[in-house]
Amino acid sequence: MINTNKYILESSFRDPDSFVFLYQGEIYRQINNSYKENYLYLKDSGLYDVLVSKNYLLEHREVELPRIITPNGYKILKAQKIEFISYPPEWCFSQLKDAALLTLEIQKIALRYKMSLKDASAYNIQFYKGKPILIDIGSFEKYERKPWAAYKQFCQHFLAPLALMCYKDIRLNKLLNIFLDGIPLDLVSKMLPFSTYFNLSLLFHIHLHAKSQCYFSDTDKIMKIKSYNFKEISFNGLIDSLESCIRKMELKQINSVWSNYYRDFNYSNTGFRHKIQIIEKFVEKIRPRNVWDLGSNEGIFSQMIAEKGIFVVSLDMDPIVVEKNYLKSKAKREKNLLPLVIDLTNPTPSFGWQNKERVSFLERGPTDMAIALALIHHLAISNNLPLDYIANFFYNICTYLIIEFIPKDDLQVEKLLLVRKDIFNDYTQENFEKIFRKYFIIEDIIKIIDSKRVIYLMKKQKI
Amino acid sequence: MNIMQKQNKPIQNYKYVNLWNIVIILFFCNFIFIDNVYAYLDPGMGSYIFQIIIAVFMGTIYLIKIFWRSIRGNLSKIFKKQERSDKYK
Repeated sequence: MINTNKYILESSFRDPDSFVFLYQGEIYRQINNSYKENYLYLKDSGLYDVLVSKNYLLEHREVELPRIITPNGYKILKAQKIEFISYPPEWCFSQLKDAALLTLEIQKIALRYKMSLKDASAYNIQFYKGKPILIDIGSFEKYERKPWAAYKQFCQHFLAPLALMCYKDIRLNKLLNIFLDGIPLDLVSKMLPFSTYFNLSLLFHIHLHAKSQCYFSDTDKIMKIKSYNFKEISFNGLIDSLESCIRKMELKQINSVWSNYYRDFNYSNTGFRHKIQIIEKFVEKIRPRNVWDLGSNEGIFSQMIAEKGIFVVSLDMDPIVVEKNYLKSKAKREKNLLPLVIDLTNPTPSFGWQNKERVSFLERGPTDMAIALALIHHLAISNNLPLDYIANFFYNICTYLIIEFIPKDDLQVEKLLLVRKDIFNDYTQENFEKIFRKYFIIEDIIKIIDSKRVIYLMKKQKI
Repeated sequence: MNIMQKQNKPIQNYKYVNLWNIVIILFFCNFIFIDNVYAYLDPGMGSYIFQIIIAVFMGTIYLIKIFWRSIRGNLSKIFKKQERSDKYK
């Protein structure tokens, strides 16, 4: 018997009906008595089974152990484990779009079973086996012919960032890092181009919606309409309108500085094939359970590793290349790959209440193996990071490291130094090895054919 | 017949006419400027009321969509049947 209160996750405090806790490495959810009626209805109506069978809702099994000790507890459920928890500001456009469409699809199905989502937080969606999935079983309530309680949240968490990314700039998703409960609609309305006033869905769900939030903030005006009977056909109309608006959103911007990286001259065909062979050899030798591919670009190596059944988190700072990576892995139905937009020089911090509600990127590690191909020169030269800082960073995030050293006379490094003074006297292969040996044991070194670049396999040292 | 009844029902209710006036006012207000919404005023209330205001519009559009889809579906079935019978000729 345990006191579940001790193990509650920092992010699980908003919902009085249930909470999530971590116990002996497993994720559990306690359903409280206040949610008993809705929980039983969810199970008995068949909605739970339908959503789980479609992989729309994470499976939760009722368990006897650990037992409930909090007085308001009703049931303990054991949740399926998600390999890596990611957050909406880290998703590319299509990931957020798929998550939004899943939320609407779940709402549509729930309505057929006379239930509705009481919240539509993007944080309730995670990526599981390559697809978005709802993780919060406590989000359902009986439909009582009232307007959609989660409408505002859906617009702020999904529609607003998608509209900004689609009609303004793809990088604006990062606003979700600042606004924990989604981007305020009045801000979005100001930022969107004037042409969006002629898009009927955006006119309603963003511009007029923002205006009405301001207009009706005076509660005196509200009292007269409070007992309104919201018809099911209107509810369906609202969901259908949001769905068609989101389905129509397509990215126009398809190229960036990094999206042509592989097409630019960096390796000969033989050299590139050799690089692939080296990575395959190192990965096969170690057989890690999970891998972080840092600076993965369009994810050529990530996809190669994922195909071996190893779970890969594939990171890049450029939302366009991550978008391409996600679309490719989605088309291949790749289950072991999670592409994310993360800038390693400024990774996702801890945020939310007491800076603990959402965990920083680095706290979600360490990983068995980190891969840093054609990355070190960007960290050391573009970002002035001393080699010791870089080695220490890798030491903290992984057990094994595959890292490619790019020497100063490489074309890419020459490009970086073209318009700036070369102050990087320490940036040599000798010094790189000397510093990395402080933190790692170098297990293997292979020079790429037709190239000056070298790939290392390293193992973390016990310091 | 059912669809038509559902379409006409809400429009006959006088409350909706007042709500439509608010939509039109809001629409024109938008072209002037957007006010700031500060955190101490709960914007959730506005979202709730806003859904009630647009409920009839959303419901009607949805019904028209369903109606249109069923017509299109029926027409495509008829044309497919004709194509098949042409092939046999």
